[in-house]
Amino acid sequence: MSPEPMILPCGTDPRTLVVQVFDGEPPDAERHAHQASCPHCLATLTSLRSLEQDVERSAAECAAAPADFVRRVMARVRSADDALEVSSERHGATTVTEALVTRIARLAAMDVPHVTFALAELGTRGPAGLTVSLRLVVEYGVALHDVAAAVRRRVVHQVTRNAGLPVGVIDVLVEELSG
Amino acid sequence: MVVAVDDAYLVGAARDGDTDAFEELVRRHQDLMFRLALRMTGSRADAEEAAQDGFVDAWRSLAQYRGDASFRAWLARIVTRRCLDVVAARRPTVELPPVLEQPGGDVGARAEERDRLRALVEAILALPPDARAALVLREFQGLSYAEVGEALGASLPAVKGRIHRARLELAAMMEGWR
Repeated sequence: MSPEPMILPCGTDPRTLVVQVFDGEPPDAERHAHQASCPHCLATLTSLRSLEQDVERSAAECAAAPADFVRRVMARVRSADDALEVSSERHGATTVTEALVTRIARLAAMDVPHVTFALAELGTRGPAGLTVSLRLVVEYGVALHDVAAAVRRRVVHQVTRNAGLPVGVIDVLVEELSG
Repeated sequence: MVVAVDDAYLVGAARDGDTDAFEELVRRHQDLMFRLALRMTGSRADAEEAAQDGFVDAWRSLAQYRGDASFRAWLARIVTRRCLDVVAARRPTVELPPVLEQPGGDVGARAEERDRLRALVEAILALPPDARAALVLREFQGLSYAEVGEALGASLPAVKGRIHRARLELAAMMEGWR
C-alpha cells in the first residue's frame, strides 16, 4: 500500500483537492478563499485537473477483444470438462453436462412442499457419486430438518433416475425463510 | 439472439444451463472485460488469458450471482481477481508498453497527446496492484466507489482513500508531461 499522502505546506490535505476535482465536491467558502491565493493548492489542483482530462481521454481509447475471444470462451464453457459420463459401452458413451444435472437437482428440490426457491451446485465426483450443494428458501413455520430430509430424498431419486448418475453427498443450506 | 433482452434475462437462462444465453453475455461484455484486463496486466496475452478465465469462472459460479449488483460489475470483480492472480504470479519482466488503439482522428497532430496517454497507461501499471485495481474499476469501468469496495472486499472509506492516493500518485508521475 502506498504511503499516506504528504500534507501540503499550507496544511491542506491533498485528498480534499482530489475529491474536489474528481468527485465535483465544491470547497467551502473558507477553503475557496484560501485556494485563490495559495500556490501549493493551485499547483496541486492544476495537476489533478490535467490528470482528470487525460484519464477521460484515455478512457475513450477503444481496444477490442481478440477476434476469436467469444469462440474460445465458449469452447471452454461447452467443453468435455463439464460433461459427466453416465455409461460407457460398446456402442458409445452417454454423457450429460453438469449444467443439466444441476438443473435437475434444482428442480427436484423445488418440487418438495414448503421449498419456495432452490439453487444447486455440483461439487467433486467422489467414489460414492456426485456431491450436490443446495441452497434453499423455505417457508417460515415448518421443521427445517424435515424439509431438508425430503429434499435429499427427492434430489437423489431424480438425479439418479433422470440423469443416471449416483449421488454421494447432498449438502443442504437453508438460507432464507419466506412468509 | 434477440438484442432486446436484457442481461438479467440472459443471466437467468444461463443459470439454467443455457449456453447460448451465456454466449450472448460474453459477446456483450468481452471488449469491456478485455480492456479492464489490459489495463490491469499491461499485456495483451495476459489480458486475454485473464479475461477468458474470468468468463469461465463466471459461468461456473453463476448460481452465486444474486442480482444485487449489475452483471457487469459482478463480472468486472471476477475478471479483476483473475488479473490480480496473474500479476501476483508474474516474475518481474520488462513489458512492452501496452498499445490501446486510438479512436479515429488527426493522427499527426495528436502524437504528443498519444505519447502522454501512453505514459499515463504506464503510470497506472506502476501503481501497486490493489491501488491499480481500485482506480481502473472506478475510472475505466465506471463502477461506483461502493461497487469497487464490494469487488475488492474493502470498506467504502478504505477504497476511497486508496483511489484518492492513487490519483495523487498519478498526478505526480505525470508532472513531467506539462
